[in-house]
Amino acid sequence: MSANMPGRKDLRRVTDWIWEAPASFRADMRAPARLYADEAILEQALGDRSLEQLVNTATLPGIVGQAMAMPDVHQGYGFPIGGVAATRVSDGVVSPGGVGYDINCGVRLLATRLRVDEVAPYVGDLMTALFAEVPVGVGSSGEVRMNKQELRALLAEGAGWAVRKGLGIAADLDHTEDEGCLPGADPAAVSPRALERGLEQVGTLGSGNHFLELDEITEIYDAEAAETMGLRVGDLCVWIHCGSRGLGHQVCTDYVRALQPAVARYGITIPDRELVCAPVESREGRDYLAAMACAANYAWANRQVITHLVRRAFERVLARSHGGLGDCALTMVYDVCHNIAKIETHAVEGRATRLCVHRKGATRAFGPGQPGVPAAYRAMGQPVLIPGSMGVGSYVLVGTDLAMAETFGSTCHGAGRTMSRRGAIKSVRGDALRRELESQGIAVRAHSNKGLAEEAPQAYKDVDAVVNVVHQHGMARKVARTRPLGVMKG
Amino acid sequence: MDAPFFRELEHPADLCLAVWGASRADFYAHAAQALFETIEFASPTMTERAHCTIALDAPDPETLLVDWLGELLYQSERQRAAWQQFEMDDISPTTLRAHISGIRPATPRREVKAVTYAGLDIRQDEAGQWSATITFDV
Repeated sequence: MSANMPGRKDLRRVTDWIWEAPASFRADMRAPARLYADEAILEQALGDRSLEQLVNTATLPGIVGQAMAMPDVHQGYGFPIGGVAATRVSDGVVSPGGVGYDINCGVRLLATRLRVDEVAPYVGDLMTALFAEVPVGVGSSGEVRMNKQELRALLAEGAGWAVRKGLGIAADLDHTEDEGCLPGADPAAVSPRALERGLEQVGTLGSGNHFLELDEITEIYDAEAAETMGLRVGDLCVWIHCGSRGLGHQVCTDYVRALQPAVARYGITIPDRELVCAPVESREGRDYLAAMACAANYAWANRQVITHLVRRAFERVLARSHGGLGDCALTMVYDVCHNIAKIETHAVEGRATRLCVHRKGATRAFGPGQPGVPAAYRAMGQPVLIPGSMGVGSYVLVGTDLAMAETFGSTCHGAGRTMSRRGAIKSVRGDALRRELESQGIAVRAHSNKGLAEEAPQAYKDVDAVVNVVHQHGMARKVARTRPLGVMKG
Repeated sequence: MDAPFFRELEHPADLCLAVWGASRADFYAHAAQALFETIEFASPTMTERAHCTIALDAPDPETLLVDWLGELLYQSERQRAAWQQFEMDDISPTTLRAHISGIRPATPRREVKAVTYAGLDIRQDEAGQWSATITFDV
């Protein structure tokens, strides 16, 4: 084992769910490195380079509290996936590698009043219609075409741009994190190449772990919160998981490259060049945040356009059986981003402090009463959407006061991988997996069996165990669980 | 049969390739070839040849590698091409000029979002061989 990588002996058990490497573990650490995990998840984290990457994250200038990894942690690049790090705006840094290439990769949940026992015969038709309506796969292009001037407007407005174009309703924005528009977006900070890559991809799902699912709500753990969100056992709901496509990837590539000299210029030492960073209030830091906000807004517009396509597919299929959606319209429950850096104010040692909160594969989980949570949800806390692996199920939770006090209002973002894509392809046959899922009553629509195999449930942690850690610890509270009826992948 | 010039390493989420070459030019060409062989492409029966000339200038060898592979991915997306040949016309520690060719149309079977700097350290061993481990976000 590398001396840079903590082993079990280097970790102190703080509570049943918290393991911590002290700041003294490595000379360059500026804060402790904290993992939220049960025994099995800890063992998995010790099996790859997650904890070394977490310790690296703890070296960032201006970091406050701890560098944290959520229980869906796994090795990434720069930060571990599931990583949270907050730096002081006044003297801390922002790191593009702490956000990742798929800026504002996120999840959206739509609720319906359609009863699964009534619409079950149409799930196959719905999935076929969705597969035809929503472009999916590598390099897919959407039906929304625009020139660069229009794209710049989209980057400034986010999901509101799509609503202004008739591709959604105002209520959709009310239930989107930051109302679907991160402030400070400046299209002038986005390179011509990133703009070019964004022109044809609005309203496309992409590939990899991105998906669109039809699910049935199977469990309610908190009846009042579920009722507030419009979730009932036996209802059909829709999950959408995607991000900022080529535009976001290019923005991150551009700034990881552009900030390389900034590290030396500001006298910063980093253990991994992917952690490249600049002071939040420097010209380089501000430029990155302005471009990142554009990519975040692109992702929200993307999910909004996909929502429009989903509604159109539902209308078309159910026109025959139900005379359209009628009162069963697909309503926005919430939309969260899980790859982002945000300027937020949190209590640090009793004082309100402006922080740059990096969430890389981590979800905002603001507790009750927090500004920034939609009015309809403010009393109970922000909805937190945690998709599990294909074929297993997903969770809806709400943020808590403990998350505000301990994790800068953050929690996990999914199940988290445990197996490499290569390993998954070796151990799972895509066609057999497709048959297995179909035999469980899950309609599968995917262009590639290999891509399906890469995303096999066996390649992921047990989402129930991951959610159990955040629920038992108290950084988020379970509200509902869903199970898949139809899965669409690239 | 050609000697192996890359190996895919375990990574729980992303693509990690160990690449080597007998010379600096071979190493950069092998890195490109390894990436495009790993992506895999689907093409119709009728394809045409695609060509591109790439000239890069970077502050250090690692950035040159990130720029080189990133440029190939961008040109592949832009031209809907699968690159197959990578001829290095000129190379130094921080500059590169190459002529690449392949076929189009071609659809990648997996999406590579970006080339990262994670753990990237290009080394030359005592026998003169160049090598590095490259992590791609997929």
